[in-house]
Amino acid sequence: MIEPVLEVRDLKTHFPTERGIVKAVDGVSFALFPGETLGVVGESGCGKSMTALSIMGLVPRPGKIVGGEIRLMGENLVGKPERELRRLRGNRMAMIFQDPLSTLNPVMRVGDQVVESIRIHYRDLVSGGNGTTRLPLSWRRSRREAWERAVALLEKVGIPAPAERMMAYPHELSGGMRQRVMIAIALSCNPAVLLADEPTTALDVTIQAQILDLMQRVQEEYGTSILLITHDFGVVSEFCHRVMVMYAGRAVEAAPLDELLTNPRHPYTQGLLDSIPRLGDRTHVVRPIEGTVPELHALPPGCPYCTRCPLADDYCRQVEPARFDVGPGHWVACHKAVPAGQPAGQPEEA
Amino acid sequence: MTSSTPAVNPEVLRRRWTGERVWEAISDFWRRFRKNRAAVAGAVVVLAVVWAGVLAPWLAPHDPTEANFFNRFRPPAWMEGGTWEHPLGTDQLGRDILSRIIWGARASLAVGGVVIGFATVVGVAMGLVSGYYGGRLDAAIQRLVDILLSFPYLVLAIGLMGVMGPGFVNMVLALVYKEWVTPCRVVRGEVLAAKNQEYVEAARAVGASDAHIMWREILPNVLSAVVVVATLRVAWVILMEASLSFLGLGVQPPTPAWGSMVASGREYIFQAWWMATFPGLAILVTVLGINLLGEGLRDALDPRLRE
Amino acid sequence: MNAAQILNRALQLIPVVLGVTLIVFALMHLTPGDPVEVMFAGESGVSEEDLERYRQELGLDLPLPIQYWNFLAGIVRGDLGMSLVQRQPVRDLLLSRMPATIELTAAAILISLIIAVPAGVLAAVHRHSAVDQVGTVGALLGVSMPDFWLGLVLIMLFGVRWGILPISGRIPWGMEPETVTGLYLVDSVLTGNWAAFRASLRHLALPALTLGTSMAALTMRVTRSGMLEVIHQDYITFARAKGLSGTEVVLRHGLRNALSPTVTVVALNIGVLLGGNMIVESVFAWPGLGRLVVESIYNRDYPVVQAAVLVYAMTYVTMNFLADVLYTVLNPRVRF
Repeated sequence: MIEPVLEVRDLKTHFPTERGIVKAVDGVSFALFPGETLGVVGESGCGKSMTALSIMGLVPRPGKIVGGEIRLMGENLVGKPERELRRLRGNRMAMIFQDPLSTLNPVMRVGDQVVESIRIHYRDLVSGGNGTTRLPLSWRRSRREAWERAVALLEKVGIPAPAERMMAYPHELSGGMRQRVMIAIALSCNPAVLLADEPTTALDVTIQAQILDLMQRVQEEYGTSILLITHDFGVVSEFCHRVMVMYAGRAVEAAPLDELLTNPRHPYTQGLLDSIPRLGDRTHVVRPIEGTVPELHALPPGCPYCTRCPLADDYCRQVEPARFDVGPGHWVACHKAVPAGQPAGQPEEA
Repeated sequence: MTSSTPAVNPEVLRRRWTGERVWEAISDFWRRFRKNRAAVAGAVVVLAVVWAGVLAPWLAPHDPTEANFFNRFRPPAWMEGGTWEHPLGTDQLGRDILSRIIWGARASLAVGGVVIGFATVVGVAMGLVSGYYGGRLDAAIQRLVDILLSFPYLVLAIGLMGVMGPGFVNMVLALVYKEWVTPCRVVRGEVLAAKNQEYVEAARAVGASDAHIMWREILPNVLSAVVVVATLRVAWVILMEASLSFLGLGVQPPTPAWGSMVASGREYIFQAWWMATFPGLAILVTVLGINLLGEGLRDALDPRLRE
Repeated sequence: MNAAQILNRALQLIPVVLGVTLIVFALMHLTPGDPVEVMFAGESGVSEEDLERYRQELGLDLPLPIQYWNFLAGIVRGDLGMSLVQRQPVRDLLLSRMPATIELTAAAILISLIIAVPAGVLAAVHRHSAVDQVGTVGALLGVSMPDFWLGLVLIMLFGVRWGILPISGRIPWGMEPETVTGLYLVDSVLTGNWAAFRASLRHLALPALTLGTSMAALTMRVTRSGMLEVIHQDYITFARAKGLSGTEVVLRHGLRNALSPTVTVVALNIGVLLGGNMIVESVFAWPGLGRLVVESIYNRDYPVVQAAVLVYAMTYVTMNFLADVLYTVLNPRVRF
């Protein structure tokens, strides 16, 4: 049996606010296997970005991981001291963000930013990787070497004339180029897990395809596992092996890609799929999901989706649904989706 | 409004400051202001200083100019040789320091109030005209503003006072010279932002005059910014007044002023530390109070103005 | 920013500079009567012929536009007129006082930055903590404190009560180092005169601290809010995701972005500093430009007052210009 590189169990990340505790991530569990891409889908504010930040140990204040486990290559990250987390960041796990313009430091040359991350990694190699011996970043020996590696990296991610681009500032590059730079930085230490938070959302459609293609090539070459966070089912269907759907801080359904697209079981997943316009299919009626996501500090006691769900009854409003396996690798958290085989709702295309 | 004014559309009317709206705004403001403890403390200090200044003849235990040569350099009451007759001690002429501080509030408040009053009126008018008409008039006024801003504040005031000579009127003039620039810039910025808002366009569309639009439509909307800036600037003007008086260019003896009291205390720092210390503390507390009040007003009236 | 842009920006300063000279020129003509009458007001034994002679000497009998032209021409030639009291060219007088003021101002800026930048950064990083609250209260006190009073309190504590620091002047009589730059600290190092270095450093301590404190308050506030804004940027999160430690993130990625508003404020505060230095120089009998102005006002030496105000204003204009240039250097995004 293959061990997952990353395994998250019952993760809970909460934010105390004046109006109550916001449960941004509330009991999310999943596993990510070597060389696999897991898509995490949901509307904005459903906790998908916060899940990624929790894994990185970068939950912004006043948020805190209040429960669960995050096992990276068997090692639990929850409760680890900052110093040890720092050693893993950018090293075994790396993260790329939605907007490369605001994610790259505007006053530093692109090259310096790539070199910096290479040298952080190098420092950790020299200090034996235990994070206790601290060498200053200005440690000279590797300067030239790191620069050359950075040029090679930029070339690898498909940046033309990389040696010249090294001297550019982020605002002087196009959106696609910037995203490539960010991927180069994330790849600089050959991480086992890449967390990609909406990596293509800020880009034009044609550039999106190029970036996805780049990530796919990287994955094939290095065997990197990717957690791809997105709200775009188009991206998911292009690229992911498995998909997990999140709603209001919870995971509501997960399945292999084809299974999820053809046989969605949770009313929310069905709603999401119905709300996508389809190219070349004039008979398909786009149906948006009614209502909005409930405020996270005032969730109903039962199923979080009950306020918008067309099938919800009193039982749904009172009792939180547990996970039910409905197929190979396919589970769903919905009272109406069980027992397996009994269709929940009437999907148009089923 | 005269009967010849064309009918104004209801949206414009709705935006006008009716009595009810003013009351709503005030109670809303008070609800927010009251939560800010520092601002309330500042308001209390400012009220106390104003109280002291207005009621000085009744509050002060002694005549602030009354010299008593047998009572010179008396230390504060809690020190050896001090008496409760003169709680904060006496100066080189035997005058009561507490009484002089109480009377001194008058000079600071008068200069602060008059300078800011004048500067605000001039600055608001200039800012309205500059922002509303734009074009050459705006360019001319803004050039003047640029030039005045090229002078360090105190340098221009000291230069002017040096040439014109000391005295209350000259000091007000010397400070207003540059002070109007601040409200002018604030109002101009707000007017530029407000000019293209719908309620102004609506008023223009129904044929309201320029003066009417500036006075009735734009001014009420920039008022809170003006109040906040004016309050904060009073603190600055009081510091400038004190500095000029300290240099002997401001309020002239024997009229008590905090700055000149510190200056005379400076001559006796070896024997009477209290002479310079207490008037300086009075300046510090007053200016601090006004700053706290001003920042509280800013937060409660217009959170946009936060730095 | 390239050379052409800098030049363009410099050209925009010309109308401002002309306006400044016009106001300084007008300073002399603000008073009722003419400057000569004001100068000698209340002095006995000055005949009408003497006054007339002075008027001619100063060119005050000419029409105003011509007087202004002569004034401008004088500035261009470096001729700022004669001091009425010292009987020497105003320019020489100003130049002789300049090094003391530069030394004091530079020391004050240095002190303010040493206090304000770490305090502002710490306050922002540990927002709402005790550090932040102490810093905020301290900054507010600093802004509200009259600097002449702070100077006197420091004198009373360090000079009178504990007697550990000198309270007036630049250096004891006769200890001056050989003149190279006129800056005693620099000169004493260059000539290896360590006694003079120590003495001038001790004299500099209190005035520079007084002036630096009032400026530190403003600088700290700006650094704090600049840093607060930066801390929430994505590139800070990304830098941490790379594996940098918190301190490295602040120093390498935060500080440079946060400091560009600070640079502007430091330059704008040069104005506050120049005004403040007139006061502080008077309090500490520091023989610089500011004290010269105040002395000249007492002596009714108007040409000196006029020229010094001009020098202050020009310094201020220049500083703001340099700040603009520096701002664009720190901020590659800004181009104009």
